[in-house]
Amino acid sequence: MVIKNLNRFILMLFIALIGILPAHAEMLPSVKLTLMNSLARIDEDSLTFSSLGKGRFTLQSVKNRNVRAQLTLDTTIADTVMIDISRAFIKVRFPGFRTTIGKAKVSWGEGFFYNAGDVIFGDTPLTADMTAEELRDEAVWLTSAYIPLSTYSFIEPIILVPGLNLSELMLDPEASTPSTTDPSAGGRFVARPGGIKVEGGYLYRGAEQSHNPYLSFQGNLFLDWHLSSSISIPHYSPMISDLEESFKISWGLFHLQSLASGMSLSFRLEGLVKPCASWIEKEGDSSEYSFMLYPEISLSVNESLTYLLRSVVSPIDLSALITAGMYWNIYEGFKILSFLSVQAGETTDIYGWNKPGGITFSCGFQFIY
Amino acid sequence: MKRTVMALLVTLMVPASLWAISAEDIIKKLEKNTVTKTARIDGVMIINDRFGIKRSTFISYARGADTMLIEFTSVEEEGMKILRTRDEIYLFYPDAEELIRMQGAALKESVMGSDMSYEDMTGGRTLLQSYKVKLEGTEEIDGAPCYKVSMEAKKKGVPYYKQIMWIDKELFIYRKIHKFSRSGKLLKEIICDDVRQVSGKNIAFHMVLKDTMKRNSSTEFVINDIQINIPLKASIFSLEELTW
Repeated sequence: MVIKNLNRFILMLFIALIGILPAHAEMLPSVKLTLMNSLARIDEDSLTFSSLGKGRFTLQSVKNRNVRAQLTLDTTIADTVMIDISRAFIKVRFPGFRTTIGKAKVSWGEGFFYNAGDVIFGDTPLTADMTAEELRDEAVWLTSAYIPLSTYSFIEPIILVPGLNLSELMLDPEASTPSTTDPSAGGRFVARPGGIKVEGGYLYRGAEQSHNPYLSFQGNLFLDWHLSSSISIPHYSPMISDLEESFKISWGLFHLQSLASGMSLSFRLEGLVKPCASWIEKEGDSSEYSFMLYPEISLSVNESLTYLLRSVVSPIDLSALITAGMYWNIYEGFKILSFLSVQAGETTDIYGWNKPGGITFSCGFQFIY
Repeated sequence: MKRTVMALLVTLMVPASLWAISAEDIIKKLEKNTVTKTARIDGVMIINDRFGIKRSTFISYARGADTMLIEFTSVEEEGMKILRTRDEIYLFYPDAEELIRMQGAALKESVMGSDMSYEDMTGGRTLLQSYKVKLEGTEEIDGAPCYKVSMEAKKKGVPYYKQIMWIDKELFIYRKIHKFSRSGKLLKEIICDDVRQVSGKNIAFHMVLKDTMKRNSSTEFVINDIQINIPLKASIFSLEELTW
C-alpha cells in the first residue's frame, strides 16, 4: 500500500512538473506513450486478451553547455501503475574530462542483441521483449569519468554503486542496505587503430567478487562486423574451470542494402558462443546452451513503413522465438505497431509452443510528444 | 602568303588560349570560394514530403572541406548530432544515448528522413582528385551565366559516378548540380540561390535538394547566420563533443 501511494505521488508530481514546464525553457520534457492490445495463448485450452501501456516521461536540462541532467520515469500501465526510474543523472564537463553521477545508460562492448563484452549487464535475457525498438536499454547507478585522448579514443573509469532499495526500507526500516564490498569498479579504453574500433576493459564485480576483463572489435569489410569476448575470474580460489566456464564470444554481421524506389533491406546476424556450456540437448535444463543465434531482417518500404522479422534461435535444441512486426509511421511522432510472436519448439526446449505465450499477437499505437 | 596566314592565325589563337578557362580552373576557383578554414552556421533544414513540412533547426561547425559537426537544436531532435571527419561519420542519438558509426551501405540512408544521405556528407578529397572534369559549355540558370562542367569518377569509392555542375561564371558558386548513377540515372538534384557575400566568400543562403528516388519530396537548407574563419577548438570535432 505504501509503495502504491509512493508510486502515485511520484507520478502526480511528474505530471504536475510537465504541466508547468513550458514556462521554463531550461528544461525539455518529452513523453513516449505505447498502448497495446495483446492476444496470447496461455496453454492448450486458454487464451488471454489484455491491454498494456508503457509510458516514458523524460525531463532533460538544456542550454547549459557544461552541465547536463536527465530524469526519466518508465511506467507500465495496466489496472495499476508500476513506476521505475530508468534514468536520473547529472553530467558535468570540466577542462580535459567529464564526469557522470546517477543512474545512466552505459554501453560497453559491441552488439545489438548478443554482446559478450558487456560485463556490466551480462547476456540479454532469453525472455527479452522482442517488440522493443532497443533490445539492450539498461541503466545502472554509477559514477564515471570520460577522459578523451584524441578524436576517437578515450578512457572511461567507472564505479557502480548499488542503489538503495527504498521500497524495502520503507516497509522495514531494519532491512539490509548495500554493503561496502558490493560496489563494482573498473574501466575501459577505446581507440580506433587502422579504422577498426578496439575496446578493452575490466570490471571487478563486488557482489560476486570476480574479475571480468573483456575485449571488443568493430569494423567494416564489405559488411559491418563486430567481435567481443570476456571471461570471469573469481577473486578467491580461481580455477582453470572457472575461466573455461565463463569464457564467451559474441559476433555479429550487419548489412543494409538500398533497393529501388527508396526501399532498403537490412540484414543482421549475431551469435553467442560459450564453448564450455552444453553442446547437446538436455531434457529439462535448457538454461545454458553453448550456441545461440539472433537473425533479423528489416524492410523499410519508405520513411514511414517498416516490416521486420527477428528471432532468437537455439540451434542445440532446435527451438526459436520468432517475432514478425510492423511499424507504420502515419503522422509525425505517431506509429501503428503490430507484432506476432511464436515460440517454436517442445516443452523441454528453451522456447516451446506449449509454454505460456507460445503465440502472441499484439497491436497498438505509439505516440511521442 | 602561307607564312603570313599562319602568323596571323597564331597571333589570333594565342590571346584566345590565354583568356580561355579550363574545367580544372573552374573547379579550383569553386573550391577556393566554397571551402573555408572554419565556419559556424545557424540554419534550418525543411523537409517537404507527403507528411507535410518539417522544420529542424541546427548549428554546424566546419573545419576545412572534410570535418564537420552538426547539432540539431529543434525540440524534436534536440541534441542529435552528426560528426563527419575525413574518413568517418558518427551519429549520436541522445534519447537512446547511442553512438552509431555509419559504414558501408548504411551511408546510403537518409539523414533524418530528408533527401540528403549520409553518403552526401562524405568526401575528404577535392573534386579534382576524385573526378575527371570537362567543360561542356555555358548555360544560364535563373538568369545567371554559368559554366556547365561534367564530372566522371576516376575510380570507385565516390558516392556518384557522374555529376554535372552549373557554376556561376562570376561568383564561382554552383547554381545547380545533377548527380547520376553509373547507369546514367539522375539520383539527386541540388539548386542554390540567395547568394550573398560573407567575409569575401560567396555563399548560397538557400539550397533545395531533391532525391529523385523519392516521390513528392524535397529538402531545403536555409542559412540564418554564418560566421567564417572564426577560432574553433579542435575538440569540437571529436567523439567527446559528439556524445556530450
